[in-house]
Amino acid sequence: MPAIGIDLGTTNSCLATVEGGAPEVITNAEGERTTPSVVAFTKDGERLVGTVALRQIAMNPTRTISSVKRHMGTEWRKSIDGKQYSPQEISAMILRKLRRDAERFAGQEVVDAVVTVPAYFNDMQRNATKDAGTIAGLNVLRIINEPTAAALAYGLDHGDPQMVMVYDLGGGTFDVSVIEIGDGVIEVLSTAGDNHLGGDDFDERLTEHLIEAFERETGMSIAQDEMARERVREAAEAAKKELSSMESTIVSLPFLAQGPAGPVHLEQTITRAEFDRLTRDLIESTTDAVNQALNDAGIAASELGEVLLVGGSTRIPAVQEHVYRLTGKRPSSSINPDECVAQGAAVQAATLASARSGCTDLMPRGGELLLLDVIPISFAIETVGGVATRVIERNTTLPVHYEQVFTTAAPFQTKVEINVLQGERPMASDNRSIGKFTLKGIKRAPAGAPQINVSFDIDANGILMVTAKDLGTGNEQSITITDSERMTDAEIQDAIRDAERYEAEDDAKRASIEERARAERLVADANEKLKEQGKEMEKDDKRRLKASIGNVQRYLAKRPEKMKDAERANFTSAIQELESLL
Amino acid sequence: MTENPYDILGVAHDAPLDEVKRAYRKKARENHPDLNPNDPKAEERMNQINEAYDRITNPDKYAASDARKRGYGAPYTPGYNGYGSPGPGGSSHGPGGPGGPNGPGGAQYTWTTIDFEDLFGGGWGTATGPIHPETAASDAPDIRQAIYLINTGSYADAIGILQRIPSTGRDARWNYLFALANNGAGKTVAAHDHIKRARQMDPSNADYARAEASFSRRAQAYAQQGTERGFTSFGIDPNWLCCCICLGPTCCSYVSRMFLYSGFGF
Repeated sequence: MPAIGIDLGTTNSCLATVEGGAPEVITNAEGERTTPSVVAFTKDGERLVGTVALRQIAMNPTRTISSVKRHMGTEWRKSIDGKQYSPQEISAMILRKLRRDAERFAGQEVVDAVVTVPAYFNDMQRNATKDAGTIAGLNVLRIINEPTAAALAYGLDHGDPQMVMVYDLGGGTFDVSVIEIGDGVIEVLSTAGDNHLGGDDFDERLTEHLIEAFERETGMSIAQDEMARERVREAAEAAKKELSSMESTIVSLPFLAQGPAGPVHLEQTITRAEFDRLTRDLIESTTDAVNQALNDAGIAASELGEVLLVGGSTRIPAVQEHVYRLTGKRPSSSINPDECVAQGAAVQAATLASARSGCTDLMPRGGELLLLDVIPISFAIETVGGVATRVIERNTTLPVHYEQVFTTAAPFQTKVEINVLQGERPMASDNRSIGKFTLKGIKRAPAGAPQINVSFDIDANGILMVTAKDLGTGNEQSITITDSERMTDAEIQDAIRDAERYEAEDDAKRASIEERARAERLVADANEKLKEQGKEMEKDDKRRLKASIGNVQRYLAKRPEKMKDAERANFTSAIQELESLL
Repeated sequence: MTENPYDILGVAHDAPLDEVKRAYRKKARENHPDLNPNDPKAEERMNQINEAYDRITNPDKYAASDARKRGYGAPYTPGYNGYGSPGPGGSSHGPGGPGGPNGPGGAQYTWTTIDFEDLFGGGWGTATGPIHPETAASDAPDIRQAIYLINTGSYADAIGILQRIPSTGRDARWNYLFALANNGAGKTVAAHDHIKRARQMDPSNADYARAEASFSRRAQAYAQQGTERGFTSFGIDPNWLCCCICLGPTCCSYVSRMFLYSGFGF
């Protein structure tokens, strides 16, 4: 069974697997190499994923979800027809479609997958991504960082020892990693980034600019018109892409609004210089992360062997220029910025799967590459006085085990709360709380007497597990995680059932469409046969064939969703009968 | 960790860094759980290998905690208020605390992001205003230029100059200057990280200690507030801590007295 790599992107997702030792991108059912990360619910409850969802976004903006990745690990919910959808569930719909595409490609069931996340995702966002994979019916072998995956794809062909920087500016997130390659090991030295910076922000700037200019010229307001806004946003995105290869482009949106004197159109010329001016501060804001990653790795830019650009937004010439200014290096063009992350994920999936099964034919060429990744953001706990006490420093290589002994601060305290934080700031309140652990059932004792050993284990996925043991009694204490944004196992199971039920309905719908197409084809064939060979046919055979055609046509005239189960079965046998007569 | 990190990686104790790196990669490939999925002990071994490599490449990071561990071997009178609560401006280590402010007992706080040793034990008081570093005879031209830029308030340019210095030139002084430049530019987290590194590389330098104390003032104010609200701190029996170190099969490097902020009972 092949293992797949999935780059679950903010705007586009990509799917790859290792075939004959090399990572290959799997095209989706629509024949595309990347799938838009868009999910839509049509008026009659049908779910659309990918290009079909993207195409109807202007007509159906309120029931279409794009860039859901920006909400991963938050309490964001989308309400559709009275049901609340979490970011995990929406992401799972995208993953399920990709899984289906992989199965169509492989001709067999696909379960094992490596899914990528931005390096700068925190613990909650990683967990949410893993949960999304589970809901989609995948066995998530590993969550790996996108820049690391890119380096893995690069390292497969460029094994000579060197340090590379990956600058990954995607649709919604920005990451920088400094990675060292050598001796079959890919070692991440440092990573930095911004979870809320990407191509979407560039689109937004241009959209605002176009709307402002339109309103200034016409005196009309369209800012509140969601459909018009969506059309402008789509045009802005297209213009942005064109400006990567051209010096200027024309945005033309006929009939954008209805004015007192009839329809009003938008037509504007945007130059690359103008676009650069609008987005300069966005590009500038990537500087700090680049410098931080280099400083954390302890190297100067001149020590880098190569700079890799990943993510669609790195096609913007001003971004490339900025990276050159910061590093003094012309970025490498040897990798595809849209596909290398999925390819790297596929390489890691193949490595993990072949190590597990002991089956070497899955292995990427050149043997397995070992990936040594780091935690992107320090873990800390809140201690006396609201201080964030670091327990694991950022850029510590995984896996890591760490333990500390805790005690109580008040006499006869029977429970304590540990606030686990992620962030670099010295004060707890300035960092992100990723979970609160309540230890209960501590024996009543003077303050400082109970001895509770709390261990932090971060596995190779970068996902934190905390266990607590009362060393006085030797008992393992139960820990209650009160993180509202993390789904419970029961919720995940519910979501899986939901997703499977919808998939079953979708399957039934698809099967019904295929069956009707087959029936129509058979009827046409039968009529053809009657016309050509009708004269030579036995009278009885002719009569039987005609009856059979009529029978099938009777079912074809019915609306498929109105058909009962018994009718559906009769329809199937009618088709079979007709087929046997031909 | 009780074993010598060089022994864990299987290299000579005076092996050059690139040999250590090669040995680490080899060990990682042999022991990483990714490549040994059916070996339940692989992760534990990999944790050890990771720590051993980190110890060799970042010895400063472990210096304080190792000194602390050695300090716990000393006789100690149990008493939960032994260390006292840290008060501002001076040493308030109680009678139970082993050593003076700069002894092993005094280092007990260094595992937090704020170095209380300097805040409360070093007697620096509070430094005010920006720090003006001076050039030394041994400074290279780019270091001199960075110092000039820091003193004239051109922090961003100073950061730019310092960043271009390759890894081989990044000593304690580089970290100190880089911290000052970042502090001036308002990047307090980077300032904190680098002054900490400078202090670890050269703990005896008074300039670095003063700079660190000055960066920590805000944190100090917060800690004082905490003390006033009635938070107290308590020690753990050090003999027992030694047991913990032996018990833990893997790294237990920062084990020290720990506090727990309690959401209950106050």
